[in-house]
Amino acid sequence: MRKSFLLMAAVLCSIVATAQSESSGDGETGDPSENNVDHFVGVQANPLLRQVLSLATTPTVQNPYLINYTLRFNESNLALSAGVGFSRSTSENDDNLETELSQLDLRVGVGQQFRVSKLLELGYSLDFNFGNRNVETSTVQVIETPTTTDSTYTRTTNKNELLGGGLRANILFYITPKILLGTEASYNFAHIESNFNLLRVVTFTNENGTEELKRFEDESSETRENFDFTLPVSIFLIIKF
Amino acid sequence: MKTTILSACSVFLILIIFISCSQEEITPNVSKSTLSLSTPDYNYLAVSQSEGYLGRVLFYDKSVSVNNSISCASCHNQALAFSDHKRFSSGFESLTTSRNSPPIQNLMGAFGNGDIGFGTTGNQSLFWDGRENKLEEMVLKPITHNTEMGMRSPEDLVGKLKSTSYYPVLFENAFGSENITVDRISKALAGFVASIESNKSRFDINQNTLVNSFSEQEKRGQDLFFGTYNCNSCHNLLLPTGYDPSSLSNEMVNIGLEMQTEDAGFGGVTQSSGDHGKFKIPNLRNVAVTGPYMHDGRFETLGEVIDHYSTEVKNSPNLDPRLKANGQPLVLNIPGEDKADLIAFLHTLTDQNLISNPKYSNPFEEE
Repeated sequence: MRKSFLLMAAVLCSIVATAQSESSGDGETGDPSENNVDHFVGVQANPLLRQVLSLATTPTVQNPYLINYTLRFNESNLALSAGVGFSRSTSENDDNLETELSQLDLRVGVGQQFRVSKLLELGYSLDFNFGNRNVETSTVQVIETPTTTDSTYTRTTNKNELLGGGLRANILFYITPKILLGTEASYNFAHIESNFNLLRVVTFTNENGTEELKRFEDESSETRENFDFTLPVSIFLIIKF
Repeated sequence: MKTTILSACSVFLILIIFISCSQEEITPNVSKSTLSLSTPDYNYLAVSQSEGYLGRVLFYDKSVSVNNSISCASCHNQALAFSDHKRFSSGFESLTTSRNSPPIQNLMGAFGNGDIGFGTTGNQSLFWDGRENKLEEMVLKPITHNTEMGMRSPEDLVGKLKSTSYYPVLFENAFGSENITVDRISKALAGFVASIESNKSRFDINQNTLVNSFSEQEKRGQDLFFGTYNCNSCHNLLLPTGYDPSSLSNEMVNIGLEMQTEDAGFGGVTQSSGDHGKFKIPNLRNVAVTGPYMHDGRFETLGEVIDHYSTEVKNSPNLDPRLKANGQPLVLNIPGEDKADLIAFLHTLTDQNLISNPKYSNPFEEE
């Protein structure tokens, strides 16, 4: 995970560098109001802050979109936005559980974003969301009794696909003319299809050394729909250019 | 335009690095253990020796989860009074639960008809939000929870246990036949859980024998707990449950952690706004080893908990009346010396018998 956060920091640095390069190229004439369009690239700062401040016990903020981009047409204040979040991890815990988790979230939105004062921008957006989350686990368990040994290999695969949409409101504060802090609240509908696969292979060995093998497979799927309200707890560090 | 293209390229390039860097393949280690099938000579409060042993095996067996990854004991560790030292526990897919794992002790009031144990009668609410009050039903809920242990249904668990070599033997020992049913699993597991009793802390021994072994600081802490700060009005240490279970208003309370809590708690069970943000009063026995504290494990230490009650209680319409004065949150302004005394007293509630008694211990000998 640390590697991922470092890479996120690298994303931020490259964006800042690019924005600064643009700024220095334009000299002091870069008044945003003179541009036809403004670009806002934001990186969710909560994971970085947790990492930097070692707040390992802080609950994970439930906003999967780590990187956001908004294109604002200044004449109409029309704002087109996109967000992406991706994570992939492999771990093994104290109970010898191996877990592979991969998650991809995408959203696109259309709305408006207004500069309401020198320090403040407000916006709203109608979003369409897509998500895919896969979790695979595997374990090997051996239990010996005085008469038998049960050796079990288990693998589970849990695939979830999300399709949904909703409304989002965001607020951005100018720290400098090029750097902003933002947060957002959203209310989304989600249609989720889950597919769970289980494979279990058990080998029984009795005291005579005789082996018996049993294979068990199961598949189940479910569809669920829910509405989620996301509070404005995610902080985005945003570069404007 | 050039800047836009450069920025977009940077983002996508680094996304590709993300994906390529994080693909690491590992093979799970083998979890190996041995299990005795004969019933040990331990007596259990709620069930017979053999039923208690079966319940103990079920409690510690990772086979009870869908992928043999975790057992009840993974989140309810005996050394921690059957709680977890983590803020949120990990489930069968390593995803975290939404609430802190509570300790398990003195739940006999929720087992059977609730008339076993020392002075406990009636139902006890279970889970932080009190959504269950029958231990036999409660014990199946984490097993079939889609974050915790992941079994699709209790019937799937029956099938899984039947396919092992050792459960038919253990069920025959406990119930007289190899027949494995949901009711039998439930009775054995709940019976073991109900038998986990804490009544041998130094505080309990002082109460029961009238021999006071407390230090001066512990005595001062006790006086503050029962007197000055009246902590006992909610945390009734004279009852084994740790609170008065005779009415829900004494059991499910809002303690002012937030003005508007995101987790509805008991309100999510009753669907009543008047219950929003209410959670079960925890039993303070063994509290020194059961941190982190509160339903969401927000406080790491007892000192932080006392600080909350000292000056941090937030007002809300549902704030418990015992934490209000003139309609405002109570501000106790507990000085540092009193805080230290209270913490010293709370340590006297640790029951070494519970956290080390072999009759509650893991029957699987790990290799």
